[in-house]
Amino acid sequence: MRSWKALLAATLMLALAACGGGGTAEEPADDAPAAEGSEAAPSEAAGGEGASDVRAAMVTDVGGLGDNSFNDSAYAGLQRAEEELGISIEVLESGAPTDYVNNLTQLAESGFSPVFAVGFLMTDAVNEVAPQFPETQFALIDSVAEATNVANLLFEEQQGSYLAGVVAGLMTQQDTEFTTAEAATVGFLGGQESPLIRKFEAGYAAGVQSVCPDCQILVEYAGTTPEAFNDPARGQEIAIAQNDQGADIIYHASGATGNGLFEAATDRGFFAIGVDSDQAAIVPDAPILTSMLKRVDNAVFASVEAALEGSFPAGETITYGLEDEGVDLAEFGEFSDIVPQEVVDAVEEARTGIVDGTVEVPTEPAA
Amino acid sequence: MEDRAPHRQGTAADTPVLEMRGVTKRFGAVVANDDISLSLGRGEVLGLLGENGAGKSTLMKILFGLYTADSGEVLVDGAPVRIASPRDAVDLRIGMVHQHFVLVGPLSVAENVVLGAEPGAAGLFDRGAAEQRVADLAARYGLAVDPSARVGDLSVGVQQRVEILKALYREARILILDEPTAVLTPQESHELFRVLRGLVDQGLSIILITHKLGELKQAADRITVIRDGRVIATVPGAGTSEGELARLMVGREVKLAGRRAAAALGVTTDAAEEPAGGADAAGPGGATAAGAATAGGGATAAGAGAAARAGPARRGPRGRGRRRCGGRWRPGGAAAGGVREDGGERPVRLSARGLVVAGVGGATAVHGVDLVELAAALAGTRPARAGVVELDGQDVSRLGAAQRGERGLAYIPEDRSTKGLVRDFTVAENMTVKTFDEPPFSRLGWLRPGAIRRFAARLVQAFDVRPADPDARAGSLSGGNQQKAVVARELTGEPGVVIAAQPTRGVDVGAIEFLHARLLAERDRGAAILLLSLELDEIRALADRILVIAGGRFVGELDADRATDEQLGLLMAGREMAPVGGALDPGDAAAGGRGTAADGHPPGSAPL
Amino acid sequence: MDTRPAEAPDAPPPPRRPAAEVVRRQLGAAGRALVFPAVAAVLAFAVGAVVILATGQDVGAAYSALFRGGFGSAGAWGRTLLNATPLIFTGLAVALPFRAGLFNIGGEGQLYLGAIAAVWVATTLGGPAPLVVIAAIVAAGLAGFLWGAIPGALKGLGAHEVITTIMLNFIAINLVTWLALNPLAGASATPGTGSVADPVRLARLGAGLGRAHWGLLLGLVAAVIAYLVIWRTARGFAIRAVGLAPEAARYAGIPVAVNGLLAIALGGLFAGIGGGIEVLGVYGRVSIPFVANLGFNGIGVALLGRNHPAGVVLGAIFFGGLAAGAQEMQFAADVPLDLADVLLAVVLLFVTATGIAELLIGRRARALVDGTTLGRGLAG
Repeated sequence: MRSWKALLAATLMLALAACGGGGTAEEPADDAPAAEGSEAAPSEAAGGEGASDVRAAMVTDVGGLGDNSFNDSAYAGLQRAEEELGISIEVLESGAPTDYVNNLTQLAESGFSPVFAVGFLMTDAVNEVAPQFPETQFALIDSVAEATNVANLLFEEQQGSYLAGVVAGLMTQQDTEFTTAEAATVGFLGGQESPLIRKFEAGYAAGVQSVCPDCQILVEYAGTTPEAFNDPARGQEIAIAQNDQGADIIYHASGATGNGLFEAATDRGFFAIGVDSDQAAIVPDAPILTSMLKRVDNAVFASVEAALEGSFPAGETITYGLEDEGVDLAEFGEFSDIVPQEVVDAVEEARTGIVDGTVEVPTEPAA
Repeated sequence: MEDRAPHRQGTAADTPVLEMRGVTKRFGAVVANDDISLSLGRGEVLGLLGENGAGKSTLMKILFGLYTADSGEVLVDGAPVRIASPRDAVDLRIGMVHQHFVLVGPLSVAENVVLGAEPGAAGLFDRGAAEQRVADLAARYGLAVDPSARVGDLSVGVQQRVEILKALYREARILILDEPTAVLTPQESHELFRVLRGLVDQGLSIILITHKLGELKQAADRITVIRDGRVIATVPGAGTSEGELARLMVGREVKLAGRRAAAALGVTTDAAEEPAGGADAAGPGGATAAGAATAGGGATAAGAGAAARAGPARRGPRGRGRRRCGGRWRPGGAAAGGVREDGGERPVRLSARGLVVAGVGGATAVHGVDLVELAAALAGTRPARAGVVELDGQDVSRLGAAQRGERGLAYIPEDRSTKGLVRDFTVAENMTVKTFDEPPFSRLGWLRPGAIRRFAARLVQAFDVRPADPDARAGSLSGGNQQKAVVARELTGEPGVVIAAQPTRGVDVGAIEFLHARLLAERDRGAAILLLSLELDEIRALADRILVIAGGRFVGELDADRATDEQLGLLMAGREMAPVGGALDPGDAAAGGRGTAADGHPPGSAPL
Repeated sequence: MDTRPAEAPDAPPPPRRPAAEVVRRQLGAAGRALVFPAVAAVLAFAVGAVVILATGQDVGAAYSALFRGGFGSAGAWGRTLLNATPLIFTGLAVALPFRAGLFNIGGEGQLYLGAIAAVWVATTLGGPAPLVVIAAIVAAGLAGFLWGAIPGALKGLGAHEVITTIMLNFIAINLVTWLALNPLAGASATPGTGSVADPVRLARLGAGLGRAHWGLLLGLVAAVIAYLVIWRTARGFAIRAVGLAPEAARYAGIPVAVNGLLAIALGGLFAGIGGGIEVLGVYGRVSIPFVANLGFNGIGVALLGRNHPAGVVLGAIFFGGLAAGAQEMQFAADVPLDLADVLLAVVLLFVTATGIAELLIGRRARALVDGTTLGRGLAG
């Protein structure tokens, strides 16, 4: 199972990479429900009598529930929809790739809608099943399918990475238990080198540059195959090398390879920045300053809400960014005492800038 | 079943030290032991005689706790006991010397003896104490053993003493010996019986399992004969003839001296042979037989006899009937198997100007490894490191076993269950295991099961393999029947040369009789037979010439009719003698010494 | 499930009925061979029931859903057979080398290479679709055969095949990943090769069997061929001799190394074809990551099927049915999918741990294990 996660992470990222270029996103704010919906009380619109008619379901990819990643995150969003919007939900795990079609078909035949297909691995399955059930609404996470009854849900990882870069660029100039003011150097640890991960790198580098133009940014990828997302030993090696060169904060977008970074950061006492979920909660012993969050749960919840309102973005590709909490930066948690207020302010400033468009975040690193 | 046998006066106490009553053991539908009763008096040697498969071993395994009887009881000192494991047996002071020793080669004698019951405190092994105790024990029972010697370096006879010491160390007073002389020279056997007599005098009781009639008569006070899982009779050791014992064991009259009549037909000296003659040198009438005996490293003795007869034999190789192959195996002066053993190489060059040449490598090995290596090198299943093997005047050194077989060499390996047979194949499959890919057994790569079964059925009948079922699993056959199956396969197609390595080891008397007759019939047909055997009796019964190899070298040749046990025993112990009959080329013998000096065997060794 | 063996009657066989005798022997052998897996399955379901109860679910509902989902309808059979198809091939990939005494853990890598070879041929070769399909399957088999020949050859040099096949799996998987992402990369939104054109795909069986495709029939044919090769050809004779008693085979002049090499390469051939058929029948392409564990599950299928081709087919259907049924079970009874894994694991545990069955059904079990006689106890 463990190796699956890495592969999933890998494929997920590849999927995004593939779609990133042809971003068909059309004003995400438009049909996607506003971000405030997520924190607010159950929306009136959803709470109405029609709510109980909606039966939403999801199919995990072979990673299954308990992956601490997007399957779990998607399920969390579905559960929140059940609680707050009063819908009934179902989740089917997939034991093998052949189950994708079976599970999607079963849910569609049983009248579930929307049906979420979690993970790009299910792209082919969605392409196969969705046209057979035109009345059913499908949502494909992290990938793009062709059918007109499928909503494609993507994420703007470079925006969250930019915020991580702002934190790294400022904190590396501080004297703390984990950082020294002298060497203004930060690191980036990528998994498989690919357009997707370069998107993380680009956002991160831009964020660092914006607050620390003189900072040196060390960039290293663990490899060129999906295996690079599952190579903690290589991750540790890279982290140690970067730390030797003065990097005292290292951000990773490398799946399980990042575990090597956490190991090195724990041993040597420097900061790591996590990815996808709040990794400080998952690896509590490591000095994880913050994490770049990808809120699949929010995207799922928003899609259910849209379905309730009759505005399910079928046939569209929605890209979730900072604005709608599709990506975010985790709380500083145990390190909030160390982090000066100016850093918190700078992050908020950058967030505002990105949301209102005054800050442009690149998707490819500067040459 | 009541035990009618009279106890030997004076030695047996009133209460038998061990008694088995009505012991029955079934395996599925087969009754291995059927209501067996026997008793063993104090200070008595009880012989347990029976053919292979008669149920001797099963009975002893019950006694030693390896099997549990279905019914019946075991009494020790008159009290019923339950023996559920070997540990129980040891607690009851029952010791067993298995046919295949259970020793750890790299450890010393003392370590082997005390293994599992080591002296010492707090988990520490007290080597000094162990060696002292073993030395005391050995002295007390008259077993000459050096406690600090490494077991792997010892001869078989001495290893056997270590096994006995193991039992004595655990205070055994009932000792079971399973086929103890199977691997010993006559001298060693004699020594063993002397030791056993000493043990009995000190109050031990002994059960001696064997199928050798002569030694049982010599050593046992009483003999219990088992056949088909039942006790047939218990007779006194003295005063019962071998013929009577054989009849009891087999259930019919047995002709024990098979050789004389048959051998008389064809044994002559090889006068017709030319030094470098080809296949045509010996006519069909010219016949010579030779034998070889080997003895490895001094006290470890192995005997090899070879009965060989020359003469072109028509060979229908494996059902194809395609080529002629002289029944002569003529290495042109040298067949050598320099085969590694124990990390050392000892090239040996043996030659007979006559018809049989044997080469052997190997040294102080156990269980007749010399013979095994020799046979394997000649048959081609294990390449010789140097030298030449010629078959019918052709150099076959580079050919594999299959090709040598096609040229008319038949090989009965020494271990039928791992080398001669595929145990989990049927008898039919085993009968064709060398020829399955040839017509009529297969065609265009497809097997023809009908042809295979018909062929096997014929052989099964001709060689009296029981059960006469070609579909029976080979491993389910008794040892004797397995061996008959191997021999049936090998002798098919009129081979020119037959290498028979220990063909009757562990085989019952009836099968021995049959196999011997078949080998002699092959000789009379015109095949050369090289018999490699540890059984001196067998060599004497079959061989026309006996070659003796000791310490990895060819030490002498005897005319089978004139050889005495004493001569053979000395040769096997490594004493060299002048060749008899002139068939041994002295030059070759000297060449055979090449490379052996370094091993401590100077070419010119002690005169006889 | 029937836990009582179909025992070979003890009555003496009629004297002159060889055909009937053979049939009776074979049926008896088959019956005995099924005892262990059947007992194991029953035990596994008992263990599974405990697990279900422990999680507060309804055992009856769960198992009825399991059965319904695996075998309860044509659609269920379709899903089961879809799952079983590649497992027949990977099971044979283990079973055939096993007959030569070799344990092929390399089915996974061999399947990957077969898959990529099939896609390569199917996407590049022009011509009539049926011919392209045949060429693709041949290429898949060849790739698997050659990949299997490597550990076979290394075995001759003294490298243990378990180690080498495992290592070659890593190489094969990474090699295929590289091929699929670089020279053979397609234009699809998801990483992997391009897709095989529809006419070159294997057609579905129809008859309400859902996505089950003609690859299933090829699997059955492969099982028959494996059976014939093992038991009806001279080569199979040699392979079995080598597997049962290498020393005796060598003494009989049967080359051990060559036959071992051939057996494991033939195993690779089956796995490779399995990979090719999976892409031609189901996915149409090699996506990265590709379908995992088909090769490894083949080991379980072969063990369950006692390394007999017929057993492999039954084992594959059992595996496939369990997987399909587990889907229904999680849908209808909310029992997690993992229970199917637990059941499979326990079944295999009991099948392989013959000592457990011996405890349960007594000493007779030993005879059933190797399907042979009790000769062991009689020597002497």
